[in-house]
This record gives sequence, structure tokens and C-alpha cells, in this order.
Amino acid sequence: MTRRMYGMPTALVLGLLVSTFCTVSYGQDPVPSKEGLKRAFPARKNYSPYAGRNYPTQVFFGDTHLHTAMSMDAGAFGARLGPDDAYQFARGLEVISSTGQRARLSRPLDFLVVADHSDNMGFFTRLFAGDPSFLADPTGRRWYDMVQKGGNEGVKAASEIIASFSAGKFPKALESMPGSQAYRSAWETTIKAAESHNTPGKFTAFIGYEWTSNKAGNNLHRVVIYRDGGHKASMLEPYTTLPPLGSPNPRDLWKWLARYESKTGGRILAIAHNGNLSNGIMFPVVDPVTGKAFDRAYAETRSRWEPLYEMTQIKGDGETHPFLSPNDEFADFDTWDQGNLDLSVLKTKKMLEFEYARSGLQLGLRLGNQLGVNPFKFGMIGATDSHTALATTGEDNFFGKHSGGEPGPKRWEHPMAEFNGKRYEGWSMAAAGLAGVWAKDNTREAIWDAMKAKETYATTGSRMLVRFFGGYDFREDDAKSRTPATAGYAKGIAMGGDLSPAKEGQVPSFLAVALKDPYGANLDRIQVVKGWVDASGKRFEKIYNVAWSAGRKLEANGKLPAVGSTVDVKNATWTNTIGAVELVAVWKDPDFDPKVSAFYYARVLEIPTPRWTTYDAKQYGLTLPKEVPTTLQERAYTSPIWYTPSK
Amino acid sequence: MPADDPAPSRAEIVVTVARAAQLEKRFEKTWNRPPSPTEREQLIEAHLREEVFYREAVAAGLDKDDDLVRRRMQKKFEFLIEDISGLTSPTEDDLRAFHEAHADRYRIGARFWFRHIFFSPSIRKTPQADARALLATLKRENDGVQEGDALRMVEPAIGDVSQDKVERIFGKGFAADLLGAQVGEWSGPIQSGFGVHLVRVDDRKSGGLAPLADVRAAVEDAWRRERRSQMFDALYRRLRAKYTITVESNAVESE
Repeated sequence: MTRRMYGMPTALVLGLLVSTFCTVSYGQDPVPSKEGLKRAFPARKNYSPYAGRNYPTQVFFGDTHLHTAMSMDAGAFGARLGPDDAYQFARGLEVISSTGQRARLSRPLDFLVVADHSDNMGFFTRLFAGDPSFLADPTGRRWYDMVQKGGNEGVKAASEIIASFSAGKFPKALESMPGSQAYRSAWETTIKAAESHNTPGKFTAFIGYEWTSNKAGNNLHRVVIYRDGGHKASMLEPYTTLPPLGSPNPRDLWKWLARYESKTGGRILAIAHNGNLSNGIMFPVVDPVTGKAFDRAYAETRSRWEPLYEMTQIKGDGETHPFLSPNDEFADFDTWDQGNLDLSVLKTKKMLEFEYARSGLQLGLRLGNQLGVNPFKFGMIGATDSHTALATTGEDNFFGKHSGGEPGPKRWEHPMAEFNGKRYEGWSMAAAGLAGVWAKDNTREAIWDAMKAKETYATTGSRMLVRFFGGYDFREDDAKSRTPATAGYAKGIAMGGDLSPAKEGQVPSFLAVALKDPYGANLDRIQVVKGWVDASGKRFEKIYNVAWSAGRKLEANGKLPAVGSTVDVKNATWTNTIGAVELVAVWKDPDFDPKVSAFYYARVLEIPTPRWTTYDAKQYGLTLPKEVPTTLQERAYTSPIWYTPSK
Repeated sequence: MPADDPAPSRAEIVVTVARAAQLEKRFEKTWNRPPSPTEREQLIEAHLREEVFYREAVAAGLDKDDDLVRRRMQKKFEFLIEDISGLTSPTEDDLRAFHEAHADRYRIGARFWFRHIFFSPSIRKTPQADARALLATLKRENDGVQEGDALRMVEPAIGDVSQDKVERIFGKGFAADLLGAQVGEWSGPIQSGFGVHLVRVDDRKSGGLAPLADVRAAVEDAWRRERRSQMFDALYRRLRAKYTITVESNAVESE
């Protein structure tokens, strides 16, 4: 970020600031003391930090990935709420869920993307209404009957619908195609709901959809998010995955995105999710369709359209896998590794490195070294992917992946989905996640631009505040400062950014700050996760504990003892008598090699709290089997900061 | 169909030029360009598949006396009505009356200008006592910036912020405490989701009914929804009145 030099002597600048300091000022940033300023801005810098404050001072939390009854599978699962209800709920109003239960968020979200499946958008509303062309098809008739019966029959129908769609066996008679009246009206409903709830400055409703590529059951889904309003968004109908109008190949989606921008002058991006269900093709090193090596154009295209990755959600946490990260005691968290989305093919260990965010980032470095451009240079966010139209992520307020998983005494043991006898257990759903975005204002433009710039972090459902800066000039004093963002932006770059190549003798340092969620649990620790590849492309990682709550000492091997737990499982409670309200650190890389490409991201952990299944056990008087975890440590993952050596 | 037009035999499907053009238009809607010859072929084949199934369904009599067809036709009729009802616009009086009648929906909460000093339970053993001790010594002019413990990502001075926003930043209940605090004086200690605070509320605007001008769009939207629903009910009652309705029953009449 460039700063204008005002050419004023430092003393004069400080004098001016001190004189404005004495009047009470209600700005977006805390007013630093004279001493604080002196420390943040050493004498040689002579510009005013208050002139044109140019950096984001607020975090906005939202769900970038929510389904309503407009999605072909959601309706079959029992969802009866539409986009309008989804926005009402996200804005903090009480709604009646599809199973008739009163539901309300602990506090409103700041933004929401209703991202219904582009394929067969509106299919379910037609099926449920008994569209005659559907019932002419024997499969359509059978699904109709099952959905009318509801309950487990409905869940079975939904699983079949998904399975047949992924296997490419979806009955042609039942397709709801772009260009048809039904499709157009479904897309218009989506746009209309977003337009009516979008309130600049207060709540942002993005227009979006999910492109649900699921060839042979392997998940390559992307959520598409428009920066624009209805006027531009309605010019092209969403891209689907079925030929001839659509395609399951991400390269074709990127072509469509380019077409959208060039034809409308709008801006658009795509966010992939669930590499853990892709069976090894989310972050491939050769083209999974042709087997050929990638070229620079692939890397440029992919990194241009996909600045973020949804790395934690209901269907598992996608940061890393214990097999890939055996030295990371927090790696085995909400691990979903049975197979692909419809369990038609089971998982093999060989697939894992191409499925997770951390290894994906490492592979990105490798390909970047080979191709000159890094195709997997993504920031991190979380989302729900809920199909209930309710974006719930609180452990004590979880409404499940779909309406068959809304609160009830048996929801933990019902399968979330079942395919040919194999199943995803209901209890294995994660009450996750959210996207935290550092933006200058709560508007479509500001939040979208921040997502494009990767100034974001993922959380597993809580709302901790996290700052992460990288630079060459951070000092211990910056950790003592009460206004770390001032130093952060002045002396370094924020999460999602790039460090310039190190000059002779320079070593990068990082300023990390975290504040607990005021509605939630204290913090355990902040870690910096470093990843790199060597000259042969082999992947390496190291985790550093950089800040932690009082009462523990770092061991010789860099490990930190666990923070302990105050969770009372039987009563589903915990107390904030351990952990810290806030954590801050300036950390310098002790293992820096200026010739090696690397990334660094911050991971923040809360103290243990009860898992949603523990709340269910209390509410319904259940005894759950041992395999069901009773507690969890919520976490936040920032977008990485990349270091690229000079050529 | 006109009498002198020979009806095509059931086995004949004609894809007219107009129909093909319609299929191409569908394609353009997604791609914003016309289909290639191969793509065009695929579009026509897809259409033929649909047409064949449709004809088989009709031949099988699936469109007659079918619950589902009936329901579909009801929906179609409703869509028609909806299109018509969309043309009614509210008058200024309509909006004013609605706004007043549903005042509870259009309340805005209080707004605050305040400073706070934080005492962290993670750092101190007795944050409440420490807060009280400082309160006793605080002078009114003290803006409190360097007092208490750091709360690095929360401003020590926050202005023109709603009740909702205060709750989101500090946790549940904090705004209620601000409502009760004496303006212009340091007071407390009060509890937030972080710990203990002393607060000085410098200005406060109480809540009230948002003026119509500020919530016009929401009021109009809600008015239309209510109107639509009333219209459907009224229409249904009018239409129903056209029919003589008899509901037969097998029940045995009581003596």
C-alpha cells in the first residue's frame, strides 16, 4: 500500500496529533498516545496516519454458502423456507423452521449469500407441486411419492436425487433447464430476494449460486458470488453442470465467468469447497481430465477467478488431515475421510494431499515455482452449506445440514445422507463455519473487494476477531501497542497479502492479534503455520506457538501443553476461568530461508466448549456412543501471507 | 386447431423453425452467444427427448383427472392473479396507516456515544475491585485512554452506534447497562463478554419509531405482501360464491 509523504517534520506531525488528541474523538480506530505514536512511527517516517485512513477497521461476519428450498436436494430433504426466509433469519429475526421449530440467531450476521444449486434451480418446487411432466417419468413419480411421505422417505429421495445427479443418471424429463420459464422465474426469485434485503451499511445480501460439479461423485463444487446487483446478474442465466448448456469442468466455469464480466462489465468470483470429498482432485498437480501437466495459463486463470477457498463447513474441516500432518495435535478435527460425496468410491491415502487447504497451498508453491504463477493462491473462509435456509453455526443453536437434521432426539443417529448402505453419520456434521472479512464498510462492493483481496479468515462458527500482519519491521513494542492495526498496515501487509523479497539480512516478522468472541469462549493460543516446498517440490510444514494464555511454558520442542478444559459434559456448560480474553504477539521466523517460497497463516484456538451433540444429549436426555466427540476447540484460520524470493 | 388443418399423426414430431429459434435463445441466455452447430444439434435432441416423453405421458392419459395436474393448474392460475396484483401500488395514506399499525416492526433502538475502560479477568484476580478503585479516583475530564487493560480490537471511544451494534461488539446485556448509566459521568463496573468495564456515556439518543421516510421500502414491501394475501382470500371467496357446494357424508344422522 502506497502512502503519501506529507513532507512535514515529525515533531510538527506529532504536535498536531497531540493537540487533536485532547478533544474527545469518536473515530473508527482507538486514539494512540504520544508515546505509542513515537514507537509506531520511528522518527524517519514523517507522515500522518490519520490522513485518509485507508484500511479496514471492521470485521464483517457472514455465510457465503446457504441453500433454501429452491435447491433441488434441499426441498427433498424437507426444506420449506425460501431465500426471503433465509435473509430474515440472517438479519436476526425469529423464523419458524421447516420442521416447525422457532429459530433465531444469537446475533445477526453482517452478510449472506443464498447460493442455491444452478442445476435444476426450482426443480424441487416443481416436484413438490406435482409438475405433470415430472410425473410422466417413472423416477419422477417415485420421488414425488417419497417426498410426499416425508421423514426418512424424503431423505432417501434426496440422497437418490444427489446420487443420480452425480452419476450423470438424472432423468432428462426432470431437468429444469436455463432458458425455460421455470428456470427463469427461479433465478428471478433469487435475485429479487437479494435485492430486497440488501441494505448498504447495515446488511449485505449477495446474489449468488452454486455450480455443483459432481462427476462420478467427486466433489468440485464452487459457489459463485456476484459483486453486482440484479440488473447485471439477470443478464446471463447461471452456469450449470449438465451439457450442452453447462459442464462439470471448472475450466468451463471460468470461461463462463469471463463471459459474464466481459458482457456485463460486472465482477464475479468463485469459491470451491469440500476438497475432502473430491477424492484427490481439488488441488491436482496434473489435469485430472486429461492427465496432462498444467500450463501457466491454467494457473493464471484459476488464481484469477478463485481468490478464496471455503475450508471449513458442515461436511468437515478442510485445513489438514492427521495423515498429512502427524505432528499437528490439532489436525484431527471434524475429519471426513470416508470417500467422495456419494460414497461411490472410498478414500485412499494417496488422494489426501490433493484435498486439503494446507497441502493445497504447498502444492500451489510447487506449481508456482514450475509455472511462474501459483494456481492455488487462495485465502480462507468458512461457510455452512446448510440446506435448511438457516445459517446456524453455534454449538447450542445448530439446525443441521438439512431439515432431516433439525433439532430432535434422533437426529444424531439418523444418517445425514445414505448411499447404497454407506452413510455419513448425523452426529459427524460440524456446526460450522463463518467467513470473517476485514472491510471498510458493510456493502456488496466493500466486502466483495475484500474477498478478492483475501483479507479474510475462516472460523468454525465463533466470531473471534483476528488480525495478522507480515513485514520486516515489526518490533516487540508493536505487540504492546493498543492500536496494532496502525502499525500493522503502516509497517507490513495484512492477511492475504504478499511479502516483498527479503533484502540482505532481513527476516520476516508477523504481528498477530486475537480477541475472543464476546458471546463465546476464551482463547487458548495463536499459532503460525508455515508451509514451504524445497527445490524438488517436496512439501514441508512447521507450526509455531506464538501467543497463549497464562500459566504455561513452551517446551524445548516448541510444543505447548494443552490449555485444559472446564467443560461439564453432563450439563453442557463451560466457564471462562481458563484461557485469555485477548492474545497478541510479534513473532520472527527463526527458520527463514530467503531463497525458498513459503506461506504463513495464523490459527487461533479457543478453550474447549461443548459440542452440539453434547447440547442435544442434555436437551433430549441421550447417552451417546464413545465415538461421538463431547467437546471441541473452535478455531479461526487466517488467509496466508506469501513470501516469494526474488528471481 | 382450424378445421382444414390436417392434424399431424401421433408419430410425427416437427421441430419448427420457431421452436429451434426458441431453443437457441435459451442457449444464448447462458452463454450470451449463439450455439455452435454441434451444440445446436444437442439442443434439438434434448428438446425431442422432452417432447417424446410428454407425448407418451399424454397418450397414457396422465393429464386427465390427475390430482397433480389439477394442483399445477391451480398454481398457474395463482401466478396469473399474482401478476395482476403486482400492479396495485400503495398510496401515501396506505403506507402511513400501515406504518402506524405495525409500529412494533419499525422501532429503532437507542444510539450511544461512550468511552469505556477495561479490566481483564485473564490478567487480574480482582477486576471488579480494581475497577471500583479506579472509579473512585477518575476525574471527569479523563478520557481513560491509557487506563485499565488493553482491549486491542475494541475502540476505547465509540460514537453514534446502535444498541444492536453495542451488543455485537460487547456481548448481550451491555447496551442495557449503557441505557441505565448516568450521562457525562464515569460509572460501573459493568460486565461485558470480555470482562469488567467502567463506562462514561457522553451522549445518548433514545429509541423510537423510525420515520416513514427511513423505512419506506420495507413498509411498501410488507404492505404489498399483506395486500396480495388479502386479495387471494377475497378472490377465492368471490369465486367460491359462484358455485353451489354440496359436501356429502357417510355419517349416520343422529336422532
